[in-house]
Amino acid sequence: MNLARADYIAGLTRRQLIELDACTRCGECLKWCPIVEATVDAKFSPMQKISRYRSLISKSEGLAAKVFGPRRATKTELEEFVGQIFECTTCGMCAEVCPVGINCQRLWPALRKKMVEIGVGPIGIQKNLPINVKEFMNPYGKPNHERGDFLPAGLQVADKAEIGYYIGCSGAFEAQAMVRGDVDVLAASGIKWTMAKPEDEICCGFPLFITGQDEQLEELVAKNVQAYVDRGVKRLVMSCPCCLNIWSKDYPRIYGGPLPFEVVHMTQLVAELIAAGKLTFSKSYEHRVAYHDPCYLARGLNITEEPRRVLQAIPGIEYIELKRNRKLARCCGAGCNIKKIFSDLAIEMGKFLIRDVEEAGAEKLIMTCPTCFVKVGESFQQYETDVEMVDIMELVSGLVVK
Amino acid sequence: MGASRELFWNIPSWVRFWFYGLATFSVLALAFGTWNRASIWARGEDKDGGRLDGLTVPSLLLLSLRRFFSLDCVKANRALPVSRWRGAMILSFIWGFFILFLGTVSETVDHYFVRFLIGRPYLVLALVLDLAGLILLLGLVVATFRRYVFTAKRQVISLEDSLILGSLLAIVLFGFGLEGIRLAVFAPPGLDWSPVGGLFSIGLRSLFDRAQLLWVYRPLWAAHFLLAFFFVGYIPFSKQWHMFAGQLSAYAAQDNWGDHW
Repeated sequence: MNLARADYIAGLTRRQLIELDACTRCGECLKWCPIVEATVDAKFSPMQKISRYRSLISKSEGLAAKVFGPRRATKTELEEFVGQIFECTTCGMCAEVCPVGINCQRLWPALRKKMVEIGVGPIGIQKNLPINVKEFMNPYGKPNHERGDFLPAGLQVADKAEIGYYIGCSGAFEAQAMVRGDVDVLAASGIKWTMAKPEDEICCGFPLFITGQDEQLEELVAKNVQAYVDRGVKRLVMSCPCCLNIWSKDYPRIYGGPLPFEVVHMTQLVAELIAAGKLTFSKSYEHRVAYHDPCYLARGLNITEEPRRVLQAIPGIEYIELKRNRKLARCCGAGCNIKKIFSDLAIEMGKFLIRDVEEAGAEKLIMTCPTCFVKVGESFQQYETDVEMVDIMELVSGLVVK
Repeated sequence: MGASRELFWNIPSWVRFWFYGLATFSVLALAFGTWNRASIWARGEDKDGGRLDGLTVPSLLLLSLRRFFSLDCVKANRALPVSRWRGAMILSFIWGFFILFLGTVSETVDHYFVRFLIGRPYLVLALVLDLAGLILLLGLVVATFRRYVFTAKRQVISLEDSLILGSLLAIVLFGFGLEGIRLAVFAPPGLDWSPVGGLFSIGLRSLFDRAQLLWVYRPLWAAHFLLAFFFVGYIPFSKQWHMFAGQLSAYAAQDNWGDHW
């Protein structure tokens, strides 16, 4: 821990430094922050986080610092800030409603990285993430060959194809029903597709990026991109919105230019396949369903309509829109390792979502994110309701012609 | 001679030295603080690939000033869709301050260079500035209610929030008070060209006689300008710096949200 030499500016982008000055403490973020809603504590609000970090900068760069010399932030001050900045799902709701467009969803990882550099972050088991990814190629610290345990026997996967599939660690190790649904749908579509051998697939690096521990990212990007270039991939498909986010937004920057292939979400591909007649439904689904927009898909990538097109193409379905939907969708509470470190908090936040579904009158809650899927699943275990949760590809795979 | 106004009416001439001295100090503080804050921005890395990358300190500052005149800003395009009250408040600040600033510039030009604010031009200016001050005052009242009465649940209000809002309210009210005293003392032709100031003058005339009004005028004038100088000089050292940072942040946000921002 090097508090004396802490530089709170280096490493932040120009835009981020401007954003830190742009906050007017208007309170709009306070109204929408899911952590504030669940904890009833304004200290977790984005405006308080920004205010706190601004005061750290002020200590070394402000008027008093110019006149009387810089002051050092105390360990207590930094630990308090770490508590604020890491207890956040980075859902991006604050960014969506901020009147001056502060992109908090990108700002928080940058501030977390500063705390890691100074030596006061991250928190708890997050510190194990770099070791796990380095040694096991996944953030769970589990043998990487287990990544393929969900794959059905006899699955036909081409060595090379224009469509590639990236499983993602959360799907492979925690939400196997989701990724099983993905490969079943790909198989049913008849298209030629490829994927890395499960034991060779590497973490996308998102858990490292989001916790401010991104030293390995360059190496992960190089290996991951090459793996699919070698397979002749022109379009890489994945289900996890967090994986898709980092592949779309950060991989090109780290790779040094546009990726040699397009990256898309599974629902985008499936919507196209349905429209082209390559996926047809042999069964109907006579249920009232509501769809939960994952934070990193809706707010992070503006992908909101394709999942709806997929659902509304299913015969018999009665689609009900949740009151909070698309870019204003509620955060389920699971994001950003919150589900592991602040498990009870995440479960409570998941219950808010289940209540929304009940109020909307839906019977089924459709998910398309492994993180949401796992943690909201735990919320369901602690909440008595008739609503059931289903992954979108798990649903589609059970209804399409094979 | 038609209606007009003397710039330092009822103020001893020796005060002008202090007036311009403090004004200079205020502007220097603004300049120093602005350069300091913008220099911090310029230390940021150019790794966003965004529209702010590569801009120098002067470019960033000029851009933030230019953005004040963008349609987004002058129509509060970002704030109005989210909240009509917030949008109206922001519009009142932008337009109120801008028109009052133009009024000050006009009066300075009139006093030091070319006398043109005599008769009808002066009366028109007086009316415009009265209305601008009223718009600004209404915006400040809305801001006060939003901050302290209809406040967001769990909103945290800092001392700085209260100081800024309080000082702005005082500046505007003192300004109307000063105008009210002048109108009460002179009862000039064209009182109805200053509706708000006129109302203040009626109220003040009912409370004070001429000698008292003249006496009150000086400390009120000093308070008005001291607060205004403090406010201007304090901008880069306070939350008010968001006036410039917010313009750039909203501009950069177009990289994410397209023309919506």
